[in-house]
Amino acid sequence: MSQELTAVVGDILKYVDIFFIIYLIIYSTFLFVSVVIGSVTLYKRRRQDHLRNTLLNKYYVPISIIVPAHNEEVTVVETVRSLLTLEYNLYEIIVVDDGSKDNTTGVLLDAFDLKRIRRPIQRKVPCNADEAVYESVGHKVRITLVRKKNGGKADALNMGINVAQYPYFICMDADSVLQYDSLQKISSPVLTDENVVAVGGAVRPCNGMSIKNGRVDKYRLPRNVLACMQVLEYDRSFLASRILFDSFNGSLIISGAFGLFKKSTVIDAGGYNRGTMGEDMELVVKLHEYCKINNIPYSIKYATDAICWSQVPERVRDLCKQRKRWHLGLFQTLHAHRDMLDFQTFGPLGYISYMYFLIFELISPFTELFGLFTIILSVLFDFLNFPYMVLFFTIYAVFGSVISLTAFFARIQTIDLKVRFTDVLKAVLLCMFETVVLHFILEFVRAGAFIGYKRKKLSWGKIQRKKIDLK
Amino acid sequence: MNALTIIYVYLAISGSIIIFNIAYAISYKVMQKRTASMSNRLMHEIVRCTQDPDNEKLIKKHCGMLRRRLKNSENLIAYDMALERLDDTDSAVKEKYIDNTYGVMIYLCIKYMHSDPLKAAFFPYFVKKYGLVKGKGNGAIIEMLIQMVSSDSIFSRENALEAIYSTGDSMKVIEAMRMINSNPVMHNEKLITDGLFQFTGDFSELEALIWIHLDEFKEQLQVALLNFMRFRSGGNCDKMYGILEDENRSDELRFAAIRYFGKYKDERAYPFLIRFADDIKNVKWQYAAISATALAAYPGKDTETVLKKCLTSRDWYVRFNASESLSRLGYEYEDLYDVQEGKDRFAKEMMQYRFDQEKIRNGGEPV
Repeated sequence: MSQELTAVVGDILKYVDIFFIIYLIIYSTFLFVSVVIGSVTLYKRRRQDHLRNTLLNKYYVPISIIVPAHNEEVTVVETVRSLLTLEYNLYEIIVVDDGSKDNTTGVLLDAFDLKRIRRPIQRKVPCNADEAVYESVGHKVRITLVRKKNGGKADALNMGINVAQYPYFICMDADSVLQYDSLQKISSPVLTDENVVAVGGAVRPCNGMSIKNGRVDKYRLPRNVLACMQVLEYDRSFLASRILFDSFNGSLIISGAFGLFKKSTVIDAGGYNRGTMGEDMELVVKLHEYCKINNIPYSIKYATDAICWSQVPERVRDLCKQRKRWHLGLFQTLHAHRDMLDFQTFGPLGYISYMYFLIFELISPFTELFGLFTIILSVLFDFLNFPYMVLFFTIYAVFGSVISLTAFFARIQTIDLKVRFTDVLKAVLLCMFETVVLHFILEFVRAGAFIGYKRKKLSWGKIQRKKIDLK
Repeated sequence: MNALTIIYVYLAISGSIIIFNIAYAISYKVMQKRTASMSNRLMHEIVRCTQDPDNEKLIKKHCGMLRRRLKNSENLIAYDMALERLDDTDSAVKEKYIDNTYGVMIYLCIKYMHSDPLKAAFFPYFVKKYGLVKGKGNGAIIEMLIQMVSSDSIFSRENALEAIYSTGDSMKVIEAMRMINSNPVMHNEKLITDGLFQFTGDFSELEALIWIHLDEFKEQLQVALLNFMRFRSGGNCDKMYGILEDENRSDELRFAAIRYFGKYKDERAYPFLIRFADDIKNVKWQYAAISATALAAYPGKDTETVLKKCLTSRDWYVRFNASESLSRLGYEYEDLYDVQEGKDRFAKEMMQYRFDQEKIRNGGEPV
């Protein structure tokens, strides 16, 4: 019996082996191709700048900046102050306080001399009612604060859309800071292609650095190890998948921390979905669907040089909360838009972008856990070839680290940041740890995201905030 | 192929990526140093020429060297860096140098026009920066720049347009607009409207020529040009009125004309604005909404009557714009008592908002 069982297990593991080899080949090839394409694209864009293939004069597309906020009293004033230093002439700032329990509204009223006003709001997209609207005069641009009943981030963003007076809007987080030229850079694709309905910016962790008048004063990798590893992770993610998907109009995600949208198209598509945690991704996928189905010529771009500096969690607990929320949001979005599996209608958007997110993002935690389980099984039934496994994991770790470092250096080189030698060393030492340890921890976390899913469906998620170093 | 082979393949790929990174970093540094060194050499040559500008033999040799070197875009960038340093030189000396090397620029223009779009876009930028075509009339470079305006690359088009604007020649701008018009890919309206402000010649002459040739252009380009004139000056009322009253003109053109008369008051336009704002049921909402804004320039009883009616429109933008116009015209609560005490909640809310805004502007607390 035992021999029979061993034989059966052996046969199963053979097929499992084949599955994982194919899985890893496809994934590694995808990563490799996307990082190479990403690097080449970045270098090409640098060359474009070098040869003056940019809009040299300042053209201003009118933009409403929407900042949804929930319990952001620590950072929101600095965020709004940083928005007032942008070198851009035609924009407005709208902060939506989504029923904060702290003093978010109070600190804004004090800092910017906002006065309560009876402003009628046209509900073009659904959102909870406002409780109070405040406006200010005397600042560089108009600042509007809307205090409303709590309804979640998507609801707050919809309120912002309803209040916005300009044809384009930017959504950004209340703990983020834009560079002096971020608006100019993110609006540039709109001027070069009239079919652009959305543009994603590049979000970079700002932990441990300082910004002076919208310019990076001192750049260094965060002291906090967790934040440091997230820098590598963000660089890899932005360089790899985002740029590749951008090349065939297949971007399914624009970070909620910084994205530009054409207001009329978003309204026509129904605005943000208030029933999901991943409202940023859901909106982009919805825009794709809406434009494809209605045969509207469109394009969704990625502006690699439009930078938004955002805080990343420095505590493991906060990071886990964040990643669970992202994973649930991903599930909700892919589930809601499973029509994209109709490859005939959606083309590469379906069979590349959607399938990538389905297989290598949504299902991957379970796939990797299954892989771990089969390793344990192999040990129990004495099938495991240890030297081979060690070699395999070593190469896997080296490959992952090299991809991360490529992304890190490509970003550093192409946006002309001066990085200290100690930071380079830190990046090299941490990249392997990030690939082997942090990645697996987060896969466990993501796999556990569905536990207690229904209870915490729409919560913002509490994360510790630190004051941003703005001079 | 066994799994071990695959592993070694990925090890090799990892190694290649590392080599790629190192090679790029090194090549970029080398390229920067080479460009800086070339810039220094070119600077040295330029200074020699500016010190002896009438030495034909020297100039000829210099031009020959430029023809050979500057076909390479990196060297052209180095030349740009060198010329930037000439900024401190006497402007007459600099102009003489540029005149002496004009033939080289014609040669380079031909070369770059037929090169890849990335490099081609740099040359017009260079032309504009050093005023190579300023006052040059029918020069060869200008003609080539006009051809470049039909490029598929938006940056080539935009840089070429900016260079053409710098000629100060209105007719050349019109020729450029014709090129844009014939291109299936339309240049962004905003880039055209705002870009025209870089024109260095006589704006009145340019506007006159635009009117003569307006009907040759597609609607989108016409709108961009009309918007330019709106931002530019109030000297086009006659022609704009012709568009406003002509019902055969497209809606977009008539909207542009309405906006024009919102900025520059002309009594001839007034009856149209009143009609558009008043006849909400029979005209497109955009006519009513844009006219409601324009009426802020026409104070009077009829305006007041129509704007009050617009406050009760079913269209949000009509109400919004009408309330803004009433506020700009200085109407206060007492003047609009009938609205504020009336039955239309939306009208009341809209005007209340404007009164609150006025209070804030005057330092008060509305609520």
